[in-house]
Amino acid sequence: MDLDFTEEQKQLTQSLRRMLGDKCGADVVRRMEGDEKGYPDDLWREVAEMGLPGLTISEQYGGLGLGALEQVIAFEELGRALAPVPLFVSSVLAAGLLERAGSEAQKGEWLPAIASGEAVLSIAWLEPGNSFSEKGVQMSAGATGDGYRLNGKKFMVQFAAAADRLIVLVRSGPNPTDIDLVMVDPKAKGITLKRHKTMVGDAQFEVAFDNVEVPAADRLGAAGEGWAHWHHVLRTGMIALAAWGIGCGEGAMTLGTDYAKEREQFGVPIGSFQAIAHPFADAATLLAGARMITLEAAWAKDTGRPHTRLATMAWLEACDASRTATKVSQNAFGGIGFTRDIDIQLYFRRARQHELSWGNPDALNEEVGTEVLSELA
Amino acid sequence: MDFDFSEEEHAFRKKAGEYIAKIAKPGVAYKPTFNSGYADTPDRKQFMKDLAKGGYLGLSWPEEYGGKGMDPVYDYLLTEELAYQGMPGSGKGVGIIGKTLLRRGSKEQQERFLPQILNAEIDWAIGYSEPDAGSDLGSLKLKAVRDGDGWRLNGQKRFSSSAHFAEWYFLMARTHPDRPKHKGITLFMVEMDHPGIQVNPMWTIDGHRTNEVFLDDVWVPDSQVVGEPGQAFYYVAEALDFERHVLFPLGPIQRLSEIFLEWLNTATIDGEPVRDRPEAKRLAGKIARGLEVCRLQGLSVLAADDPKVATIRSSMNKIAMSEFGRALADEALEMMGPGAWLSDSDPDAPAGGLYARAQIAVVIWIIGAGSNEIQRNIIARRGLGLPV
Repeated sequence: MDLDFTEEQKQLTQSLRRMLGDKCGADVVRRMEGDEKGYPDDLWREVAEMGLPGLTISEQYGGLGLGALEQVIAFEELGRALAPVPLFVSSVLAAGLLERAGSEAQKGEWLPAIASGEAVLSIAWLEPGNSFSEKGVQMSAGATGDGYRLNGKKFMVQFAAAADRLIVLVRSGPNPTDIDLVMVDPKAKGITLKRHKTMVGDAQFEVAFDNVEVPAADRLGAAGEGWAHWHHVLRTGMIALAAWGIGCGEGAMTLGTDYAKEREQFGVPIGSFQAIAHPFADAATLLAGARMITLEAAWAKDTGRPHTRLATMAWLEACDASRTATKVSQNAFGGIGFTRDIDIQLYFRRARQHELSWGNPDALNEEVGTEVLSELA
Repeated sequence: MDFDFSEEEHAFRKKAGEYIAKIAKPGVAYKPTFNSGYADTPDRKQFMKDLAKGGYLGLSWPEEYGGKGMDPVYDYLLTEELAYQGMPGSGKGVGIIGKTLLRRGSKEQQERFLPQILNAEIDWAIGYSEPDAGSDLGSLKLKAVRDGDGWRLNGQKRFSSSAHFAEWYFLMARTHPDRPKHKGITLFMVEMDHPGIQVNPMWTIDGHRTNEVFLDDVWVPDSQVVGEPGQAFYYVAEALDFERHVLFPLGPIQRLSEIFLEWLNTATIDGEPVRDRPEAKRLAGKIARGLEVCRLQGLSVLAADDPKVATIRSSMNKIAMSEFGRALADEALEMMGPGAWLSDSDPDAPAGGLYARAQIAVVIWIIGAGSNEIQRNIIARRGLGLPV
């Protein structure tokens, strides 16, 4: 057993923290709220120069071929800085789907471009009025003989205006998992984008499809296998999501505890009150546990062990931890924390939105529990 | 990074587990146990002797003192296996008392006590808490006054588990009332059968015996003072640093979780399998996750090289495990429905009535060995730098 990072991994943490400290202050985070593109080009360039878009993409496609542990390091630091970059949708979800289900031609066309940061891909998964489950994918993909004709609406599509391609989950038949993955250019004829106004002001869009023709060659993987690929890639991706949430919680804790050491009421720093200190201690405990299970999930993936259940558990645990840490930190700021000028609210709002965005906790707990019980039977 | 134990470590735990199962008699284990180490039974004494005979005591002691000089990870593995099987822990003797004597004891004390500890020939009781010294242990008052070549002790202790059958008492007393409170306390070793010692039972709500102990003019020679007078508080903290990874084993909660999951998987209510309910699946998922997080909190204590980090990790581990234990008992009993409140002495109780017992026993998990509020102070102060 060895729970230490390697020297290289420690260096990655340090250099990322330094770069984000320089290039991604709270002013950048604030400026991107409401921005059409949703991420600043110069920050994305810096992120790309450090190799992050290709961090886990294999070397043959221009990536660094590093593992999930390095991914945890990266996303933890991005979360700590609340960095507005399209890294998760493009390099984890889209690249993950391409590596898993893409043809050689599709991989060769897109993975190197994703790895260098030149191309940004996003995912069109969720639909208005529908759930996170496979039942929620209802947008029909009418067959046209040699392809699909898309009609309907997707929503909560991140960075759609800036994306080079969207990977769209479409329904191809009546069975729950009759779902295909197709690649579409968001600038194609028949597609209309409408900007959402989210609680953190990030770049999410409703994407309406009106008779959008997609050739069969632009499908990822075999017909009917879309949901299985997506489910696996999203569950694995939960390692990165968990790390981001933990980083966000840690960033909030730094602001909150610093303030509690300075701010005086009743003639003493408020951090001397157990009513303030103990919730911080509980949040720190939750964050430490969530971080461990996230690292364990990453280690399991990197060593070829089963990891999707651990990844799901890590995500659920990280949600609890980041929600608690940002809530406690927000609370410590009292009245002044309720004003826009104070940075803690940036963390508080993002932690909550992040937690709501990738699955329903009841459904995920049930998914884990079903597996656990089936192993006993 | 590697979250797995080595092959040697796995093999050690397996071998230890088989040996423990072989020497265990029914009077030793209380199924998934709560405090079985306090049972005053001949079977328990024999179990400890057999454990010693198998070479399992003093694993991490230096070889020159009869130990095995092994890495602390083996103490952790042995402790987990003992706890998982519901056996008494390897004990205060090889743990905090032995480790204190190894570092601070006189040559004579080491020669006298260490072999007896290694062979499980003696049991110890610890006398720290007092009626007015619980969380604020530094304020303890039991008085020790200089008298010839020794000290005369007068006062009262509380929560001295095992004091009704132990041969020796390891206690702290105030020798220097003029000094700052943490610097005026001294460690003593006293024979439990001293005529000035009276032991009265205190019965716990989970059915165990602990004790209050009265000391009336108990004279203790200097040869039974541990280390320098006035340094006890420091020694006790130091010993804890060596023992943090075995203070709060996962074993009992692990067994409890497994037994509850087994119940969930097989029970029926209103003729329908409980396992088909969505809330049962969700609870199973939460238990699997909570248990894994607790296991990892424990590993973080074991892996911490810096004692300062280990202290914080240990406090986190204690909070995580005890709070998970409480949540587990809360939710399990609610899921069980009518009859959940049958105790473990009733043969009709669901899941052996372990949860009715756990619900009560968790009080001591939360409060014992430094209440969770004290642990939160430690995390806030030393981990987060808050002026609490």
